[in-house]
Amino acid sequence: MTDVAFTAAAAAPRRSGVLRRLSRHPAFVVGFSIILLLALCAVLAPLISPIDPSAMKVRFRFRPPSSAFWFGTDQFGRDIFTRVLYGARISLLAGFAVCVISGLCSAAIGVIAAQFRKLDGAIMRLMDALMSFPAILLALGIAAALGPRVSSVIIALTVAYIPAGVRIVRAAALTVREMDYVQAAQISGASSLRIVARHILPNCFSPLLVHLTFIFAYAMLAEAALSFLGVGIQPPVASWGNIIAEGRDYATEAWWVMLFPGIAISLAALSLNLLGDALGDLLDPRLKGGA
Amino acid sequence: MEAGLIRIVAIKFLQAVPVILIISVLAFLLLSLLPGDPAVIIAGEQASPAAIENVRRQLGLDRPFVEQLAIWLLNLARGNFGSSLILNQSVLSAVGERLPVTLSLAALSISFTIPVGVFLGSLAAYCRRSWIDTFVMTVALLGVSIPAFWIAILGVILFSVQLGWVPSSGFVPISEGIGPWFASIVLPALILSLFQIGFLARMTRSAMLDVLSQDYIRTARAKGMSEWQTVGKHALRNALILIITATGILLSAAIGGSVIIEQVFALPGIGRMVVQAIMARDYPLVQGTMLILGFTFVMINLLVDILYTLADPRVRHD
Repeated sequence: MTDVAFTAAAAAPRRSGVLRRLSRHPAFVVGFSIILLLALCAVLAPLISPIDPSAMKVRFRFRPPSSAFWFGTDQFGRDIFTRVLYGARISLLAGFAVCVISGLCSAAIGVIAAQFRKLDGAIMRLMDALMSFPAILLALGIAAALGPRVSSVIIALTVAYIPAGVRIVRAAALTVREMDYVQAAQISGASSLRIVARHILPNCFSPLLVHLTFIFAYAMLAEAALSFLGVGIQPPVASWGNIIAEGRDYATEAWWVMLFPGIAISLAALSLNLLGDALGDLLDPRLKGGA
Repeated sequence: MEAGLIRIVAIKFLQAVPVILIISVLAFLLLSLLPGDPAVIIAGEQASPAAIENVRRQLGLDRPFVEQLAIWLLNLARGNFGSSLILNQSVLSAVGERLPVTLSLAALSISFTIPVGVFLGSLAAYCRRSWIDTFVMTVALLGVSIPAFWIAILGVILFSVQLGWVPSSGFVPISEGIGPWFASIVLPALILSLFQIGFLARMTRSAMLDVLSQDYIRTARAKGMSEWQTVGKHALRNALILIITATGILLSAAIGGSVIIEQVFALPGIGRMVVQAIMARDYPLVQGTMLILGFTFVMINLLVDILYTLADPRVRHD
C-alpha cells in the first residue's frame, strides 16, 4: 500500500500493467468476451433479426427451433430468437443502470459515513435496517408500490443493493484515512475535499468496482425474477424474465420458449461473475496470490 | 463469561434497538410510497366513495402523519402487526400459519448447503490449481449464475412431469408423515440450495486459502504434525467461524429465494403470501410481513454476532 503515494507519477505504466494482466487472465477474457457479445446483440438487435419482436403470426404458433425460427416461436407465433435479442436490451440496461446508480450512491454515502464521524452511526443503522429485508423482497415491495415500469425496477433494485456497497466503501475509506500519507496530507493543510478526491475515493474504487460487477449480475437475475413474478417489465415488451414467465404455462409442450431466455440470463450472469472474480484477483491486494 | 464478551454482546444488543426502530418506520413509509391516495388504491379504482372513506378510517389515514406513525409504533409495541384486508386475519396469525412451510424449505435447503458447500470449498482450496479446483469452482459459478426460478421450472418438467418422482406442487405438513413431507419439499429445497452451495463453496475456498497460507499452518507442518491434524485441527476451527457467519447470509438468501421458489411450486408459505398480497394490493399484509421478516433478520444477525464472538476469541480482544 505504501506505493500508493506515487500513484500519480506512475499512473500510466501501472494502469497498462493491470490491463495487460487482465488480458492474460482467462476468466477475464472469457467473461469479457461473452458480455461484450451479448451487449453487441442487444445494440444490433434490429440488424441481426429484421423481425418485429412483438409481431404475432398465429399461423406459426409453437414452432420448435428450426432454420427459420432458430429458437422456435411462442403461443402468439412470435420469434423467440428476436425476443431474446430485444430482451437483452432491457435486461442488460436494467442491470447496468442498477450497477452504476447504486455504485454512485454507495460511494457518496460511504464516504460521507467515513468522513463525518457524527453521521456514521445513523447512516450505518439505516443501512443495517435496509439490509434486514431480503433484497428481492424489498425490491418486490418497492417495485409493486411504484408500478410496473422499467424505472421502478431500477429504483427498487438500486435501493436494495445500496447498503452492501456503502459498507464496502466505508470500510475502504476508513482504512485509507488512517494511512500515514493521508495523515501527512492532512497535517500539511490539504482540504478535506482534496483528501477525499485525491486519496480516499481512488482507494475505494477497486473494491467497489469488484462489488459492482457482482451487483450487475445479481441485479440482472433479480430483474428477471421480478418480471417473472409479474411486478417487473410488462409484456408485450420482452425481457428475459417475462419471456420465461410467459413460456412457463407451455413449458411441457413448448420447452424452447423458456429454455433460451434462461440460457441467456445464465450466460450473462456467468460472464459477469467471471469478470468480478478476475477483477478481484488482480485489483484486491489482499487476494494477491490467492486464486 | 468474561467481561469483554459481555460488553460485546451488550453493544450488539444496543445497536439492534435503533435498527428495529428504523425498520418499523421504513415499513410504515412503504404505504406513503404509493403514488396517489393509498385509500383509493387499496379500496380499488371502482370502489364507492363510502368504501374509500371506510378504508381511510380503518387504516387511520385521515389522521395527521405523525399521529399515524405514533399509532403504528404503539401497536407494534403491543405486538399488533396489523390485519390483512383480504384474508380476514391478523398479519401475525397469517404469517404463523405459513411459517412451517417456509421454515421447512429454508431448513432443508440449508442442511443440504452447509455440508456440501463447505466440503466443495475446502476440497477446491486444498487441491488448488488442479482440475478438481477448476471443476468445483465452475460448478459453484454456475450455481450463483443460473436463475433459480428457471431451473425450478426445468426441474418440475424433468422430475415431476417426466419421471414422476416427486409431486410438482403443494405442501404436505410434517404431521402427515416424514416421507410425504420430504417428497413435497425436497425438489424446491434442492433448487434453493444450488445458489447457496455455489455461494458457500466460493466463500469457503477463499477463506481456506487464506488459512492454509498462514504462518501457523507452515509451523504445524514444519514441526511434523500429520497433514490431517494440520488441516483438520486448524482449518476446522476456522471453518466453524465461517459457517456461523455464512449461515446468517444463507438464511437471508433462503428466505429471499423462497419468495420465488414457493411461487413456482405453489407452496403455501410466507413468500407466496407476500407475492399474493402485493398482487391483491393488500398493503397492510405486505407491510406487516416485511416487518416480521425484518425483525427476524435482526435477531438472526444478533445471534450470529454473539456466536461469532464465542467461537473466535480474537474478536473479544478488539
